[in-house]
Amino acid sequence: MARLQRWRIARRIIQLGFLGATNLYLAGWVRGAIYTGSSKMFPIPGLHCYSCPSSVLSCPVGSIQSIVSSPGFLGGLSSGRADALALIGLLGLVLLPAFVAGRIACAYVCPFGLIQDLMYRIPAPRLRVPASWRAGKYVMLVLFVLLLPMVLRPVPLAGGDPWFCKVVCPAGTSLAGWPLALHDGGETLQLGWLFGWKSAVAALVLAWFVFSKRPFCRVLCPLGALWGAAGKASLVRMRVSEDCIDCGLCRDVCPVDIQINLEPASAECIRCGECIRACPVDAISHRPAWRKDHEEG
Amino acid sequence: MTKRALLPMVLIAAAAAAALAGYLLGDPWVIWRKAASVCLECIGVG
Repeated sequence: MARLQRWRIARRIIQLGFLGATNLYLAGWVRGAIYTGSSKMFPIPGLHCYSCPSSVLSCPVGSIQSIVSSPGFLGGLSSGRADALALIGLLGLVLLPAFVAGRIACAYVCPFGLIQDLMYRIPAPRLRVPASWRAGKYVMLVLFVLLLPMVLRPVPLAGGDPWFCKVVCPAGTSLAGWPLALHDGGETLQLGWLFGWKSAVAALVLAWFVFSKRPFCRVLCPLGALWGAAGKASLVRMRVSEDCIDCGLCRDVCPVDIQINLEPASAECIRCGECIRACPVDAISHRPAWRKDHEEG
Repeated sequence: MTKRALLPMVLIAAAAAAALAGYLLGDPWVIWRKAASVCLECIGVG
């Protein structure tokens, strides 16, 4: 277990490093304003609201919604072609790490993943998330990120709404809504029923982090759905050898609660490598697809 | 190089090409315009 502890510390340092690197505009927290530099045209590989005061990159989920809900995207306007190309560019950047190693960015880069990892360390009763709930994130991706923003428009040529951001996203509420509302003090922001709804959702989801392993990643995250699907064809996959003794330790240490010997090609796996370090018989490994002895995943 | 590695390699190349083409030929400022202004929907106001 010593090597697992060392690995966990290393992973935490990497997560904190990415958190710092993508949140360089610390003055935003003091000023109650957000960063407006040109770096915000590029997405962070993770879920992080672009209205978080310190964020210097954009949220991939929010950006996808803003493009597909733009007036020209389906309306036949001249801006539609440029918007579609921007969406292709954005998706290319977002999917690139997933084609290399599946949901690896969930393990090492995503700020919301780090928050979940840290909050699960709080001593509390543990709740297992039913496997069938995993489908929720695909509903979020298809319905709230793609279909509703694209199709639901008040008038045909008007823009739509980013429905995932608007009614679900707890990252936006907790990392942008609450700090900006607190700083504003009700002077300019009109806080109504929507703020109340989003705050309730965010509070419930944040409380869930204490009791279950990464519930947002597994049940609600549309980015996790996209990366999980793309990861099925990734270059680096998981392999479990015949030495496996089915002890279940891999599931105990797994941040997303999967038993890798039973589902080595799981779309839930975030490729964090903790099961590799915990395995008492060294049966689990990351295996590049070009290796000829590749057996699983 | 095995056959299994071919598909991921093609996908990685396609994603990289899409990113380059999209950002060079499209209007990536559409992403910036949204990201550089306070997203009212995200914070629960819009």
